[in-house]
Amino acid sequence: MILEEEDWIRKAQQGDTNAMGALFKHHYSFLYKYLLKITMNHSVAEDTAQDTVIRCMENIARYNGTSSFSSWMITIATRLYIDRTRRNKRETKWLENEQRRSVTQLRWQMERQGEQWTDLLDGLAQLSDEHRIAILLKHYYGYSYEEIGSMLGIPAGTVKSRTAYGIKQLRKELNAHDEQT
Amino acid sequence: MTNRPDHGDEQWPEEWTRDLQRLDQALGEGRSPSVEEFQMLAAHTQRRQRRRMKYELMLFVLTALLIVGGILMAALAVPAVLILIHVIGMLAGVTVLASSKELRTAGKKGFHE
Repeated sequence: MILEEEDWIRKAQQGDTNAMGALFKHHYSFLYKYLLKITMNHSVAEDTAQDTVIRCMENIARYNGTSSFSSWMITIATRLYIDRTRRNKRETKWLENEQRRSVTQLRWQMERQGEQWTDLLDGLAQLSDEHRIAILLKHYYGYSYEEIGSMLGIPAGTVKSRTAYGIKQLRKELNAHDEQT
Repeated sequence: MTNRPDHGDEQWPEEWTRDLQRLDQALGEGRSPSVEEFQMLAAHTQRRQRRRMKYELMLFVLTALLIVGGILMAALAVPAVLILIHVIGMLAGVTVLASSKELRTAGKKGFHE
């Protein structure tokens, strides 16, 4: 599969649309699932995934293979999402309501499939984007602090403190849930 | 009330990873476009990119022509002003060169003393 992917990338960089189609089809699911976890919102995840694919297609010639293709994609996706949330900061109130509504939707969708919406997922949804992104990239996707720093364009120390703070907040949330039940 | 084990601030329990994996499995991949749709998007993106590059090149050439044309017109209309500008420019260049040479020489002297 790796050889096949390298072949797709090489051909896509030469402008082969068939190879580009196969390459992005192969990575779309990973990209969408990543975005769904960092945005906790179906429509934002879908919109950002589509924007990311277009941006990656435009810049495919610049991909130099120093990181995996999926890492390159999620770096672009994360930056696009952060830019979008910064631009929409004026609509914070509306976004907060939208976020609550989409978390309820996710929860409903998960429970409909017989899966439990856990306190951790609730806690993650309540974290700020920057803490959620740092935690997911570090502990779920397994990137190092330095890698995440270069992905987000911030120092590794900042990533470390965001991760630590995020986990602390999560524990606080979980303990609060435990005390209520 | 359940008692959760006390972890350090940065520790990430395995059960949290499992929760996220279940989320991944339960939510699927949304509406994933087909390969054909991706191919169409790629072709469309390439066409748009080529159009944009042509447009930028045209804009660059037009701006360059405008500047060069403007200068030529000024030169033909009032040659004295153009010669004056060139003379001032040349004098300024020579002055900067001379003063920087003096400064460098003074610096070298100071360093050796």
